[in-house]
Formats: sequence, structure tokens, C-alpha cells
Amino acid sequence: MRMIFIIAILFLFSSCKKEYQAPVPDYNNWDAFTLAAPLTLSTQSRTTMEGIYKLTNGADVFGDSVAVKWNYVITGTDTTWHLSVFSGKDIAYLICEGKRSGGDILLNGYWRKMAGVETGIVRLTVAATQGANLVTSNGSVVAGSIIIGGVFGNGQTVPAIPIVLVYNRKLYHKGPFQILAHRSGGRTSDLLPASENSVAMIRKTAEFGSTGIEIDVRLTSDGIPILYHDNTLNLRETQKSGLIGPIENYSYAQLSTFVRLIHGEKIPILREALDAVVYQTGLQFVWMDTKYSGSLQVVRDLQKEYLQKAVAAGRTLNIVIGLPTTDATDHFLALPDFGAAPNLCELSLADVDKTNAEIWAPRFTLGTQNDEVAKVHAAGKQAFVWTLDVPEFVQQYLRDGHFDGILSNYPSNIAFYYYVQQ
Amino acid sequence: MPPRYSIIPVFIVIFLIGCGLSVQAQDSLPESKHAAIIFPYPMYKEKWRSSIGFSLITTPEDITEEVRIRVPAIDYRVLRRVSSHLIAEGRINAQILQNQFLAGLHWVQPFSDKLFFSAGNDIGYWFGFLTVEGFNSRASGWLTYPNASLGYRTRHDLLITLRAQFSVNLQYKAFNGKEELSYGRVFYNGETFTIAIEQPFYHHKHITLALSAINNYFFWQTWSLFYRVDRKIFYPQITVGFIL
Amino acid sequence: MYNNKPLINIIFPVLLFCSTKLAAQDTTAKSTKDSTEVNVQQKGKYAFVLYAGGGLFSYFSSVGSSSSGTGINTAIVRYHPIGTFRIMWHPDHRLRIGLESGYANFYSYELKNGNKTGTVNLAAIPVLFVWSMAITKRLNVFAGVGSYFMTTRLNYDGKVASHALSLGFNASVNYIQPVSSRFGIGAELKWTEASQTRDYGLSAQLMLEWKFLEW
Repeated sequence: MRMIFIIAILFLFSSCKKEYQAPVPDYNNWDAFTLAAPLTLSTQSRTTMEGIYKLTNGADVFGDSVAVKWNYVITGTDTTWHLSVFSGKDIAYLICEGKRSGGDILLNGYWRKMAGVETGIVRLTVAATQGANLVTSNGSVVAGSIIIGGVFGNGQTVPAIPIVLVYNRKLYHKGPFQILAHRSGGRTSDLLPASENSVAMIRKTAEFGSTGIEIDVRLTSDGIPILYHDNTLNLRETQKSGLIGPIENYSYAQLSTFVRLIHGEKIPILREALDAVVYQTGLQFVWMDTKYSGSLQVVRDLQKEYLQKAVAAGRTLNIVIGLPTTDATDHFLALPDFGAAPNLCELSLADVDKTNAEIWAPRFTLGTQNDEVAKVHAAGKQAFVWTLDVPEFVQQYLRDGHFDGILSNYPSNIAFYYYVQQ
Repeated sequence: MPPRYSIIPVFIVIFLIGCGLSVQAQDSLPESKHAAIIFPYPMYKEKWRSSIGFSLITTPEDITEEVRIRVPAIDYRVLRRVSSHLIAEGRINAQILQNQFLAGLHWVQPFSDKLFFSAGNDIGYWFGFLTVEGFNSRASGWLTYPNASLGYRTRHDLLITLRAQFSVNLQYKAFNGKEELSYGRVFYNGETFTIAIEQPFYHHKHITLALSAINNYFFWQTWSLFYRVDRKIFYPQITVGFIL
Repeated sequence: MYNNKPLINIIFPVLLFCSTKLAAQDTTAKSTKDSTEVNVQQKGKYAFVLYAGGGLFSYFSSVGSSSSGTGINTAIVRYHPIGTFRIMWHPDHRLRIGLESGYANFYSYELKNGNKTGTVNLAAIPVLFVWSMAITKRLNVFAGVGSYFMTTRLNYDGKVASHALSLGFNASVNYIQPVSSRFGIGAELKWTEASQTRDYGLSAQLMLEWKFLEW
């Protein structure tokens, strides 16, 4: 009887704690795609293909409707385009690259459900007579004129489950609206393929539907601004190195030698991150959340430098200094040119006026605050809300609120509910 | 790729079991009064039993990230004899900003003078409010907890209990400002496995020590973080109670 | 290789099995003759007992850095001294409670990055709330939960001493041979785990027990 108890206890407790993973499956095994030619589409062609699609197959997994949108990332002189499909069911998305095979467009990639850990491979085709010719010739689209069909699978298995997307209408677009990704793309606990607050994540974030990012800025002991969220070096953000305690205790040389983020990246300096945003992505907004207590001069200098670089590169990009606390606000007001420094203030409307902030950004737990948002708009400013993850609240805030941007750990979720509006 | 399982530390559990199972003592009649709250012991003679103590969870990294704290809750339990085998239980877990009240019935069945079993169900109502710094939130909900316990009475005043409890969400309602989110969706919320020992501590005072492994999709104590993913989160919990 | 958690999951069940097979003895004294044992409590008597000991700690968890591409780890040292200091309250029943502290030097390593070399050392001071129970007159088991005050000492491009708190626990078993009614000496096997930083290992220590107050 005693042994039964011992064995039962060990069994129960040994099975209790699961560690979840959601690795991106290896989808580079589609021979037809490997042999296909590069896909060259004009901006107008890509826009033609974007829209809201109804699912006639696969709706049980991805919902009845999805939003389809192109995005890109630049590596050296190469631009890689991705077609992202955003679903409202279980915060799912599909991310594909495109190629040309005769008159057909082939789309190869993977899908993921952010609500859980399910992933799989997806292989799609837009046949020449089912929309590919229309897309490449910049023809006008109507409901049913583009059909994206193919198969998807679970995990690493060869895809065989049918999925069909039928074009329904254009994406919703009403004025400037920012879909902002928290920590450049999402948190470590969201099991994304890159670490939070990393250059790798910045390069990926548009695939998840982001039009802008929020990044967390801290200073090393030798005054170099880096991207890092937590106060301390810990196993949530970094691989084990033996270095613990406040990150401000360490110089950048020490951090870059001993510390790697969860997926193996170095902790990036702010300069690297802004460089990636300007020259490697099409992101339109950067929110630099100042997480440290101290002079903001070095951050301000980089802000000025990269705003100028963005203009020189022909980029539409706004880079703001985020002020989450009164301490950060005080340090911001100590800048000699604070009046000209684009900033975002999370505090009260009075603080927004004091700092001449372009944007007011309250926490979502205060509600839609439509009266306050109206005052902000009347003053010619914008209002963002953070960090909105619960799908039901996302729908409510888009429907009942008047915010100009939403910060989320699930930008694909925001993208779906935003674009699917009518 | 299937999720990896990690073996969580079982050493406190081993301590709780190893010392208890090796104790020898004098026999005592099963009908005699045993100070027990978690142990599935029939209430042959008493009408009431109660205990007061606290429980502690360690907030999970997935939700509270760097801020890993042990969050105490007052834990008050009262048992009322309905019949010698049917016991009504009431329980309060209080953390001021969020609280849970539970009530339920358990059927207790001795298998021998050493082995006891109980099965029952508790209904819990939780509520919380947070109106400070960036929060204008409140929430509440109903959960039901079917459970079963197996108890082993050593030949001394040491009672060891293994308890399995399941959690089913019945209703959830939350407000952020004027925005309301509510659903009456009934879904399986997870399971909790508990090992407990109850024994004399000092003088005539008896103590309950329990270690629980909670695996839930939603846990009422972390409602204010609005964490919504389709993955169970692990909460280790320690409970200490003094039987009154 | 050094992630020996599976080994621990074999060691402790074995200890558990052994403990269930031991002929348990009532550790409360029924006569003054039995009260010559330091670990034995006379019925109705309370006591404060001090444990102090030291020994060797073997670090089992992964050290880190070697797989992260930061450089080449050399001179990893996993064996270091450990010290334990524990005050227990022995009430008039089997369960005892107390506080434990001490010092555990977890590990150190050297890292070469080109022509530069750096060293890292990680140590901790535990502060734990401890329960214990006497399995026999001389064999005790302990389990503690609390925090470890961790310290990293880095020497690379300058020196850094940095501190952090890690939630954790420990579990141990000791055997104390009485020297007198107040003193005993023995050995202790202890598992130490700072869970938050995933640092853990096993130690063997020489232990002194002193019942310094009884009433």
C-alpha cells in the first residue's frame, strides 16, 4: 500500500508541469516551389491581391473569413515579400513566400495558432485562370475573382488538408491606424521564432501584421542604449550565462560577450534596431519605451539621427520617445529641445500637454475613455491603447473606441479585426 | 513537436510522505475523533470542524514574467456534518483585491481502518477589483470543482491525503471602464493534484500542510492580468492551516 | 551531461524507499533514559536546536554560455564548499519548523573570447523556512522553501558584482550520532535548488547539532 502511494505521487507530480514549444516547421520540401521562378509583382498587383477572403475549405480551423496582406523585409540588396493571412479563430496566421510557376502563383509557408502551440505547413496556389492573371495584370477584382487554394498540415507532416480562400472584398482602411507589436513582435512566452526586443524579431514583425513596433530601451553601465525589457538578466529573456542582477550593472562589452537572448541573438543596441527598421523593413512607427531612470539625451540623439535617415531614404517613419512614468517625463523635460522631440505619453492629459506629446497612450484596463480621446483629437493629437490581447476586447475597442492605434502581443489579431471591418 | 514534460521537484513531496509512512505508533480506533480537514475522515461524532491558515502560490513566469512573487491568501475552511458520511464544506480564500468563496458536498467512505476515500463537488464564486494606477477593472466568475481524495491513516496521529480536483469554468465577467466582457461558456479549465499531511504540531494544535500542483487555463488569482492563451499554466501552491 | 535531474529522481525515491523500510521508532522519550539522545524530545518538552555544518557541493545544472556562441568555456568548476546554518524549534510532537541559511558556491567558469579571458562565479545565500521530521531517533528529513540571494562575480573588461533574488527550495536528510544529551555529530545529504535561476545540485556535509535550549 505504501509503495502504491509513493508511485502514485511520483507519477502525478512528474507529469504536472508542461513546457510548451511552437517551432516553425520546415516547409522547404515542396519540390514544385523549389523549382519555380521568382515572383515579381508590382505594388499595385500586391494591393490587388490583398483583401478579405472567405474560406470555403478550412473554416473549421481558420474561421469563416481571413485578411490577406503583403509585407516585406530587406536583406542586403534582396527584398523578400511575404503574404500573411490573418484569422480571428484562435489568433491564427499563415505566412507564405511566393513564386511563379508558369501562369500560377505558388505560396509556400507555415501557419500558427497563437492561442495555443499548433503549427503546420501550408502550400497554396493561385491558378492562372483563378486570379493569378488578374493579379499580375492589375485587373479589377470582384468577389470570387481570386481563389487561393491548397493544403495545410499539422506539425511537420506533409500537408494534405484542403484549404480554399475566395476573395470577398478589399481590406478596411479608414485614416491612419497603427497596428503595433509589443516588444518588437511579441513576448518570449508567445513562443515566436525570434526573441523579444531583437533585430531578428524586428525583421519578422511585419509578417505578423505589424505596421509599427514598441521596443524597450535601457542603458548599460557604460551608457549604451540597448533593447531589453526586464530589470534584470534572467532566464525568461536570456540563455543561461551565470550573469544575474540588474542589466545596468554590465557594460555592453560584457553583455555582448557573455549573454545571448533566448533564441541565440545578441542583445541589440538601439542603433542596430533603428538601423534595421529604417533600412530593412517598411515599418511606419517606432515607440521607444524608456525603461531606465536617467538622461534621455543619448536616446534623443539617436531619434534625431534616424528620423533624418528615414527622410533621406524616402521612408514614412515616425520614431517617438515613450514616457511611461513621471520619472521618464522629468528626464524628458530636462532635454534642451524637448519641445521638438516626438514623444508619446502614457500618463494624464495634463502630462501630454506638458511634454507636447503627439500621442496619448493609456492602458486598456481604463476602458475606451472616449471623452478623453475626443479631447486629444481636438488638440490635434493621436491616442493609442496598450496592451490589448483579449480578442473580445479588441473587437469592442475597435467598434466602440476611437483609438488611432493598438499595441498588442498579437498584432495578427489586431490586423484581422481591423481589416475585416466594414 | 509534442510538448516537453519537465520533472518538477518532488522532494518536498517525498519529505511529506517518507517520514510519515515510516512512523510506527499505537493503534487507535477509527471512530475516535481525528483532527482532519483535508483528510477524508467521516464525522462520526462531531458536527463542525474548521481550520484557518494561508495558501501561497508562486506566480508563473508566463504571466507575471520577471515579477515572481509568492502571493498569500487567507484560507478558512469549515466542515459541517450532514450525516456520518456526508459532509458539507465551505471555504474562503481571501486576498482582499480578489477572493473566492466555495461550497460543496463530499461523500466519505472508509475502505478499511487505514484507507479512506471521498468524492464530491464544490462550487466557487470569485471576484476581484483593481482601481489604481492604470486600472479601472473588475471581474467575477463561477467555477465548479469536482474532486476525489484518498487518505491513508498511519498508526499514529499522521494523516496523509492525495487529492485530485478538476476545474470547470461556468461563467466569466470582466469590466474595463465601461467595456464589459462576459461569457457563459462552460469549458474544462484544468486540474489540481494535492498531497497533504495533517498531524499534531504543538500542544493540542493540529496542523495541515499541503502541496498542490495547479494546472489551469484560467486561475482566478491572476484575473487582472487578462492572460488568454489556450495553454495550461502551472501554479505550485503551498497551504498551511491550523485546525481549530 | 551535467543536467542530472534524472539522477536525482532516482536517488530520492531510493531514499524514500529506504525510509519506509526502516523500523521507525517513537522519537518522543518516555523516560529520562531516552532523553540522553539530542534528537529525542521528551513528551511535553520544547526545544531550540541549532545545526551547523559544511561540506562539498556538486553543481548539477547546465552552466550555460558554452552553447550560445559567445566564446569557449574552459575551466568549469562544479565542486565548491558549502555551509549550512539552521535553527529549529522542536515542539512536543513530530513536526519541527525553523529557519535555514548558509552559503553555497554554485560554480565558476572561464571564458576565452579571442585574446581576452573572463571569469564568472555564481554563489548564493539561502534564506529558507524549513520543516523537518525525525524518521528515527537519529535520522531526520528536512524540506525548506524560500529565497536564495544570488551573487555573480564577473571579471571581464572590468569587475562586476551583481545580485538577484531567486525563489527556491531544498530537501535534505541527515543522520546524527549523539555525543551527549545536548550535542550530536553526523552527516547530511542535501539537494539545493534555486528554481528561478535553474541552479541546483547535491551536497554532502558534516553536521553538528546542538540542543541549546529546552523547556
